[in-house]
Amino acid sequence: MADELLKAWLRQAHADLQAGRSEGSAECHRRYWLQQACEKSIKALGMMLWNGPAADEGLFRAHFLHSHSPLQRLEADVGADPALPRSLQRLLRQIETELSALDGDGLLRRVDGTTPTTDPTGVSYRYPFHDAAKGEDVAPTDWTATEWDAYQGNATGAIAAIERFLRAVENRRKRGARGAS
Amino acid sequence: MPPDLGPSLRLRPQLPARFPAAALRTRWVFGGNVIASRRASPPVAVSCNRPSPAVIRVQPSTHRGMVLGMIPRAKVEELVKAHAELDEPTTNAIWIKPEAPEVWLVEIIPAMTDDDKAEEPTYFNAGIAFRFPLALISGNRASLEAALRRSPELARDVAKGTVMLDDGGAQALVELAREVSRAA
Repeated sequence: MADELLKAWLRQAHADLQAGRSEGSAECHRRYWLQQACEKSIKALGMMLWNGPAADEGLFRAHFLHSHSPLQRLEADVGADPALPRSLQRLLRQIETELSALDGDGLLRRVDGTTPTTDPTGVSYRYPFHDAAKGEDVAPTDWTATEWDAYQGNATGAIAAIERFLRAVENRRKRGARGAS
Repeated sequence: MPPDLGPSLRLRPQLPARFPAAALRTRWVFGGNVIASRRASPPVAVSCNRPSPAVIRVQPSTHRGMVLGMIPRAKVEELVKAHAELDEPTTNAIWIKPEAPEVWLVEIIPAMTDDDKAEEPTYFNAGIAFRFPLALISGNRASLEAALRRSPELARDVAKGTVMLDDGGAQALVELAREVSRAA
């Protein structure tokens, strides 16, 4: 059932956010969980909005739902491939429209766009990478909170933005389930 | 037995709006009694089992049986404004089928590539900020003009539509739609 699946995504997003709030972990781990909470919230929004034809659902999964940074990925893919179906192009516009109405829109986009990579010159939450500014190889755990703030945005602000976003998605899901507007 | 919705006057379709059967007929219930049936704007019949959160209301008891869409114009204006502020902005918008439970918008987006099926809407469920289902027909101006010439039904709707955003293109589309409607 679509609503049960949506609820499951939201439960997981809440759990990821809870892990991201935890102060017992290294900062890199907290940042990873914040990204995961943001990612799942955006996916939940996308699932809620999506009403495209069944024929496009495989592409919806490939270019959005199964992506690490779903908004960034959808934006990049739609921009790069005009042959992608209209439903995906319009979905991107609708998600952007919805996000633009929320506080912390910029932070959410920024967190969404932080994609860990195996490229040694790219920032990763989990693998050592080359820090161009320092000119040295670092483990993610070496980075201070300030460095993570510079990369992903202020942690307190990101937590608040994700919290608000999740609450808005959850409220909308509940209203939709009851049929009220 | 459907639940008694009491005095709230809120109605829900018994069938998801995009369930294939709903393309033929959607039954609206009030207090367990069927009071009206209609499908003002049947969506494309595709396989999709997600229920539409569309809500409609009826007038008080003296108007029982009369079903009206209640989408506030201000909400549509907000949506159009938000679309006009995107990176690839909407420059012209026309609200059509105001009686439909979804918001139907025809939007000119100059950045869009040519589309020979621009008359086909894309449907969205209600979201966080915009709480109504949306049927969006969009394209660049040339694609939408061609769509109006291909689709007399769309032309009729646009001819009766309300311009919500206009830099000259929306009014020109309405004029073209009127011409096509007269000729049809």
